[in-house]
Amino acid sequence: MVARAAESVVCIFSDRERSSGGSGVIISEDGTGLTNFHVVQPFLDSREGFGGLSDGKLYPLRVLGIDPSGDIAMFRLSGRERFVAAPLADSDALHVGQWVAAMGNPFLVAEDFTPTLTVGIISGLHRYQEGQGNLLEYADCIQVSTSINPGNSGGPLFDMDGRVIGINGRASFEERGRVNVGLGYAVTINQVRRFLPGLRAGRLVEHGALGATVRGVGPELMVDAIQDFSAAEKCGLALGDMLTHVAGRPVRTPNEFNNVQAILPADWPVRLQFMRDGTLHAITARTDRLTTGLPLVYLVDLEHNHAEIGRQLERFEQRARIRNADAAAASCELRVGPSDASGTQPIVVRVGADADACLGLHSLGPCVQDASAIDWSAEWGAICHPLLWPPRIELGWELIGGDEIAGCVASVVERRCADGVRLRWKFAYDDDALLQATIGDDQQPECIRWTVALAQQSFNGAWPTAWVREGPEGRTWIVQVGSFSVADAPPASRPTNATEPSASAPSESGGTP
Amino acid sequence: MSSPRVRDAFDPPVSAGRTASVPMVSSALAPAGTGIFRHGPGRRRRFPGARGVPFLIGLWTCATRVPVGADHAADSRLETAIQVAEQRTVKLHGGAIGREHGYGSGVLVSSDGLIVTTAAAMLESPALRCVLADGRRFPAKITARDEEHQLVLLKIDADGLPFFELGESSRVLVGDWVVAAANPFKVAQGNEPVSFMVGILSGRTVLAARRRAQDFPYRGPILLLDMIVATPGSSGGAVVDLDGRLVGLIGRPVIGAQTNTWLNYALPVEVVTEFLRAADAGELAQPAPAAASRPHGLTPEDLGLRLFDVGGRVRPAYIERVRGGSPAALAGLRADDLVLSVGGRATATCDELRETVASLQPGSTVALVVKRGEQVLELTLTTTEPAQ
Amino acid sequence: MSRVALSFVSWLAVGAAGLSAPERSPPVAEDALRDVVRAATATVAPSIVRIDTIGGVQPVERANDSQPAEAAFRTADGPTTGVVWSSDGYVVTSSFNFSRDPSIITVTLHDGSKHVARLVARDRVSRLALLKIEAEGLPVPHWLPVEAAPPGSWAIAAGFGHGTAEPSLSVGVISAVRRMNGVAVQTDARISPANYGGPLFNIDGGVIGICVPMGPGEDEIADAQWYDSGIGFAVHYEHLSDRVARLMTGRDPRRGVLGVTFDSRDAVAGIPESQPDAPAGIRIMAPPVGPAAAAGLQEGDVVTRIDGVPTPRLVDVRRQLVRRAAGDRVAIEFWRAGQTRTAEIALAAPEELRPAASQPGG
Repeated sequence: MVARAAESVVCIFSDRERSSGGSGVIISEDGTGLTNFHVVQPFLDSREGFGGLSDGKLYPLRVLGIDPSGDIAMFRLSGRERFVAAPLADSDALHVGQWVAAMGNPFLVAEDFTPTLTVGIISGLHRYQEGQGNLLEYADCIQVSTSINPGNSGGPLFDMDGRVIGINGRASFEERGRVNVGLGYAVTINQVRRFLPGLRAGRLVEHGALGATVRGVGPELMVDAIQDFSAAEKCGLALGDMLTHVAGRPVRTPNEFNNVQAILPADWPVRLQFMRDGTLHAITARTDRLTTGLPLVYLVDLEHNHAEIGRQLERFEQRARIRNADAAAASCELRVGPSDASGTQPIVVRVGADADACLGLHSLGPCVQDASAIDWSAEWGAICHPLLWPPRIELGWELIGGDEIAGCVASVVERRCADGVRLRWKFAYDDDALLQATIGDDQQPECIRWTVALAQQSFNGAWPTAWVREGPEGRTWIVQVGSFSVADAPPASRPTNATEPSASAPSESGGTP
Repeated sequence: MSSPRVRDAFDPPVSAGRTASVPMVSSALAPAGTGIFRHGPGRRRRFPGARGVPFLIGLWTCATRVPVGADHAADSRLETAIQVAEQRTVKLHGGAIGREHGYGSGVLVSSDGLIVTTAAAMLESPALRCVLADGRRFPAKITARDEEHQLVLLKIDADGLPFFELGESSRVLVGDWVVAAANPFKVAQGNEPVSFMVGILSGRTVLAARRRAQDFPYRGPILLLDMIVATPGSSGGAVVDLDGRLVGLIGRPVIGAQTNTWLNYALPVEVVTEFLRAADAGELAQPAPAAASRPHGLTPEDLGLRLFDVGGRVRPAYIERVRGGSPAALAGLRADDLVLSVGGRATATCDELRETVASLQPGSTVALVVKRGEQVLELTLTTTEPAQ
Repeated sequence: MSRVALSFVSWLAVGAAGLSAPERSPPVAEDALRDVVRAATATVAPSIVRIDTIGGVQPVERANDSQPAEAAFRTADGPTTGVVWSSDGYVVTSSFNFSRDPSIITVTLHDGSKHVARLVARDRVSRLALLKIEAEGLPVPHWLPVEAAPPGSWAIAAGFGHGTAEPSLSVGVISAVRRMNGVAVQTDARISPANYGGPLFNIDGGVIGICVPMGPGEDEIADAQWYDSGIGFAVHYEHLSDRVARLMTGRDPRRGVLGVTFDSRDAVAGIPESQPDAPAGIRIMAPPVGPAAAAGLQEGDVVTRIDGVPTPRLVDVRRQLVRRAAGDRVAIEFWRAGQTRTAEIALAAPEELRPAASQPGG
């Protein structure tokens, strides 16, 4: 198993002379992997580096997304059909004293790219190591006694089952030069998980902030400052509230609060639980953007971004079996009812096969509607139309980052239509299941939300039929989607040329589902 | 989220008195700045209890003595040891002076707040503070110190604390696993658990070391550890066996004379016990006597030896002359012998030989190893009283 | 005795180092390992000797090209360690232990007997030295082949450097095999002056190699600074056998070089080479000097084999050369303009080539 884990470890070099570099770990068979931002920073201009694997070969490496605040970067190796990927563990389940193993290329001694294995225990959890300004901050990180030396940066920290629990990136050095003295730090894989959609999309991802500060009051935590126009203010947090949980984790000290906050991406939903006037309240805020201050313009690689969308749609489509729908099947019945009543009423919705993808949205106008004016047909048509008849992915589409829906990390794909309407789909990062679709505009990008009902989130091969719709009118509706009458049709007639979103998409099609 | 399990058992009960001495928030605390400020004032606030008077002194009444190894949800003996050590190891914060760090570690040795740690410049700070495992902070004051062993006894005004029983280090054998608990690089803040290292007892030896440019005064037995504890802030931390029993105290970072490397070592718990006994008996004067007040020891000349003590920088311990009838002559030493070791301690140079002889007790018997020609001989020498 | 506690071996390899255990570290691994460490140490201990040196001066480190520089790491005064190589009195150890050029060396055996030792020869490239004492019937340890201790298996280093009565121990795992141009195994056990020259052995009591200071540089003193890094090396038995045979001649082997400068860039999968028709090998980047020039090698030639072993990467050339010494003859196969040719080259010592060719490659 050591040998198996070693196959997923990458010795990263910025040049073919292998004069400097770090480590990384492959987490997906297509060659996508994780490393530290500070490992790829020297060659961010070209985004091209090299990765050596334990087979003794050097592969071309391309930098995808970067997370300068969290010191994480994503890369992809090429030059091979499939790579060995390391599975990811749940780093919230770790405990102090547990044996862990680091792999990587400390001091670049791996002359044949077989990684160095070092073993130790977890010395501490939820550690906080300051960064430089808002960069390279290690919050809620793992401290290990495992030897971590220069060159280990970006390499994986494994549990004893060979699963990645963190990305090694820092160590405490002093007096004795840059040589391990038994204190190494790793970014938890659970922190990285939330950034994966954005990293995979090739973006510079940013961390979030609530815009509130807290102070310890005995064993409790009190909100002692709230910034104007901040996330905390918008969600209704007030001075004097006694915070108990943030994002589901108990917070009792300012450090715990900082740790929880610093590992969240920007624009991320975060549930706050607090005591006010003797009663427990819970609200959900969306984090503000914590700018990095990095003198760096990191342009999204659109070709890669579109390839990712294509990959995602393709996997979705393979399971949902929807693309072979013909025009005749382009109608379905919605049964709509308010969430607080039992009765539902049927509405027949037509989705035009030849219509422009955004057609139905014109009637939606700005996001101010009353309940009676809901145009179910337009909304539903807008949501499912592109998925039923996906045109080639055009420039209008972009993978814009991640979100969290019912504890599930999602990739967010957005289309901006000419009239300012924004349509977003959110796919589960792990299995590409459709979790949510939203419609909005520039001011309120997610004014209307259609969320797949919880029971359907374990996605097993069908277009989701149970939805919850939330709109600006403040009312929640339950929507049952009737059959598209396409479910049993064999996919043989699928026109492959029309479904390949991009020439550079990974070849994952695989034919019949 | 693994540590709450560890911590919850010891978290103090919420009491009304706890919040009373802390001012409630006022609107004046709200900053008027604009822009996102996650790294604003609250973000960097690392010492939640630092402001104001330390509260809750004397309110700590719940039973905190935990039967060792009992009632823990630990999955292995290693984790049991970690939990026990965590509760009994404290973080110390004092004043940084020059290259001396302003922080360290210590171990609780009584329920009423006696703490043993190693000598450090930062302890001399008038604002010396001790942070317990549960995050409570107390001012600490020095009650005794021992220059030779480089140990210091501190007292905080608290009660009902968990503490280490002082046992024996001899039950830990070379090859046994031990756990170190300390706060290197002051990584742990407030109620955060200290850092843990695991390794085996590497060996036992007698310390011969220097710290910075000076010889380290302690020359007694030490436990060599197979883990890195020669780090800033670690000294004074606990070394426990897998049952959580204290077997040693992490020593000050020193460079070993025999290897010229930073030594990872602990003072055996017996040294701590003796220090506490001496402190209790009032044998440790304030301030403690300097090492220089020790009576002058034996010299090679006392034993009837003249060394070939001239020449280059390194002078092997060759014997130039042996006085007839002297202890050296009675032991069978001859001119031109090279003394390799005295009482098991290597004597590579004349200086080392002098140093070793000086440590011998008058009237004692010691084994010598000498090289004569191509032979290696073992001789036995009985020392006499030094010449007046 | 050498097979003691065999039943633990596979289980421990899974539990604490192998990554296949279904659960995290087994609850009693620490206890069981302790007994295994002791048993293994007891097995090896009779072959571990203590070395004391007297006299000599603090070495002056050569930073590069024999320019004097401040010694980065002072050698200390304590005892060092060696391992019995043969029952008739050969002891293998690290050259680091004699960098002061001591005038007297003594060896203390496990039974307590002390012997004056003769320094037979030193190999400063592999950081090895060979001692000889007048003794018979010494216990030779059980040496293991490199493959017997794969990455993840426990490794124990032992030595007398701290002046302990019994060797002090450090436990870690094998980090990698065939490092340092293939001559050493790598471990995260703490390899330091406390155990340079001592054995690195597995929990079965089989000796994997001899602990040495090694690092990216070419200086044994400077490399000793890595002692606490968790990056340690031990020369494995395969290379030891080869080098000890050379050392027994009484001459210090010197590094052997070809007199060429190679292209240090490795081939990259999926990126075509500039000369697509050239076979896998490494290109000579500058006009050769010394023996390579005399043998007719030219800039642009692609070296494909050394003594029949393919050399697609620079490390392959280095692995061949490090096993040889100045004066050895090697057969070079190289490619030039579509043709494969051969040449025989007598390796030179680096100082014979000055001032021309140096790094990389040799």
